[in-house]
Amino acid sequence: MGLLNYVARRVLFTIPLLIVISIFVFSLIHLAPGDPVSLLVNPRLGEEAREQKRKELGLDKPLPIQYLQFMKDLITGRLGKSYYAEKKISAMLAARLPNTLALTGLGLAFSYVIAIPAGVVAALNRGKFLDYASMSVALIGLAMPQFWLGLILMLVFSVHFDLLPVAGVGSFQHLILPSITLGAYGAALTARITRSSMLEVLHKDYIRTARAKGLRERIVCYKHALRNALIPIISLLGMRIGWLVGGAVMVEVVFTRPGIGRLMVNSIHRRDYLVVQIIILMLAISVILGNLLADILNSLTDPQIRYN
Amino acid sequence: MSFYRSLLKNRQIMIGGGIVAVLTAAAIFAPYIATHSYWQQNYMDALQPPSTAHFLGTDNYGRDIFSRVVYGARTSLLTAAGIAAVAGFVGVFLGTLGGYFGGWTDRFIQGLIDIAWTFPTLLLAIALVVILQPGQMSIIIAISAGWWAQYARVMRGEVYKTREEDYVEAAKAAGAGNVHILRKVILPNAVPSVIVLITTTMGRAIILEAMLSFLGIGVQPPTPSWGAILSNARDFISTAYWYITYPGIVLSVTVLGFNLLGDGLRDVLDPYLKNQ
Repeated sequence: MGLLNYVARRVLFTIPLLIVISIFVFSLIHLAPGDPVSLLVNPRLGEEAREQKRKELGLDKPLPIQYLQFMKDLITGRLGKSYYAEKKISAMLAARLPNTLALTGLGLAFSYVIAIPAGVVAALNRGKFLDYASMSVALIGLAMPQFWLGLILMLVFSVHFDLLPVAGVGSFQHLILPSITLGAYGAALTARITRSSMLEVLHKDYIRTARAKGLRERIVCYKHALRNALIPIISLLGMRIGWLVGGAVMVEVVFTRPGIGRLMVNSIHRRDYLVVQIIILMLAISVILGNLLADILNSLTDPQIRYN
Repeated sequence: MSFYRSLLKNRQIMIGGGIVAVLTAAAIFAPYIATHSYWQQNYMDALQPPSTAHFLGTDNYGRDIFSRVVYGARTSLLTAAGIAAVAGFVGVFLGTLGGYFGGWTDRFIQGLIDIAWTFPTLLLAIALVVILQPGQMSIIIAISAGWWAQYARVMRGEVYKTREEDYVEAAKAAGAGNVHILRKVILPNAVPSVIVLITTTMGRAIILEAMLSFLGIGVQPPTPSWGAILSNARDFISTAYWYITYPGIVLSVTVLGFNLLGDGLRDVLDPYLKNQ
């Protein structure tokens, strides 16, 4: 009962959130400086041609109607044409989405694969060399801006040693440096959280009981302690989605990867606001739904959340 | 006394504080520290490696990178301080309001916090910069638009905690007004938490400014900024390693300094937060 109630409340809260954000993103194009039409029509053709174009794009209708039309088009998947590229936006997105998904997926996987063992090792060796070493690396990872880490990796592995491609997409090799770059910040953060969460769990009574029972240290650590220590790490997954999305934008620009984030940045520079709008909304919705999913998962593992 | 001693004994605070102090001094005294003008171009000297004449080498316009980095510190620290001021003011104000008055005011503010909290900072900032046009002021507003929520959340919690204390009840019973209680009793109690939050978020603020400037939608030339320097340096990555390396090291060390200082202050000011 409590769980269903929580899920229902959480979903109900998401709906107004989505509406507020969609209205905000929709107003972007109207608040942005400059008439979008004037960029599309040859300036020598005069006001009449601009009026024609405005009608064609539906920009002459009242704002609420335009908003509803915008949302209807979004939901039915008819995203229209890019003002700049004269291409269907849905086709532009479809061509780039796999690149972005591969990057974020591998980046997320990398951050966990590095962070959890590092955090566990640090906790088990508290105050010793391995603890200081891994936590110092984590501190540095938190201080380095992602885009600069990417540039340095590129300088060392692509330019200097010529081991990996500098930029672009096409093979698995193209994904290695971008995924490391994207995952590094999350890895640093997760390693720190894993360590403190492990330390906390290791002092709990049930760990002492397990040891007193004469269980081997390895079983105590990995079966009893780590499993419980992972709960706060999983619960931060929701927050991680926001960082991944923002990070993907930067990494795609650094490594000139044709993905959604780079398309957004390029569209800003071209004043192709319709594309900007759709991408921002898409990314925001995926973050919100990701958060929703993570919260529901958390409430499954930790019943306390439901009652707060 | 013991408070100051624990500050001095904390290694993180000493190292982080040292870095921050050096950077702040560089930002304030930039004209005296810079060895060259940050904008004067000299094509004869383009892309020179580090030397005694140019400590960190020169860029593709022959400008002295060291001098540009020193002036860039000004841009970075000013922007980050601006974000802390705007986000801090709005967040503390709304958080206090919600926490103290409760009821519908609190529910409304909590809704605003939730909205700001869910929207990824970088996306919101990009969207707002598109509307406001790139520039230092726009960045401050655009990042604060999402960040006030952190302050509001902390503040709301602090006010909740102290609202029920006996001395607040006593002040009320003695006839003190709401404004008086807030200003003299509740706000001073929350100062340590707000200071910790400012220092721990300073590093992220500097990174966000650098990110936006790197994307070309942040601080605009001719104002030197670390993000814009690195964005330009990217084009010369295979010919001028120093151009991409040294400004990035300065940027990372600055962020490291603020992070260390923030971690240290949190340990000293609030031992209970240590493991969070």
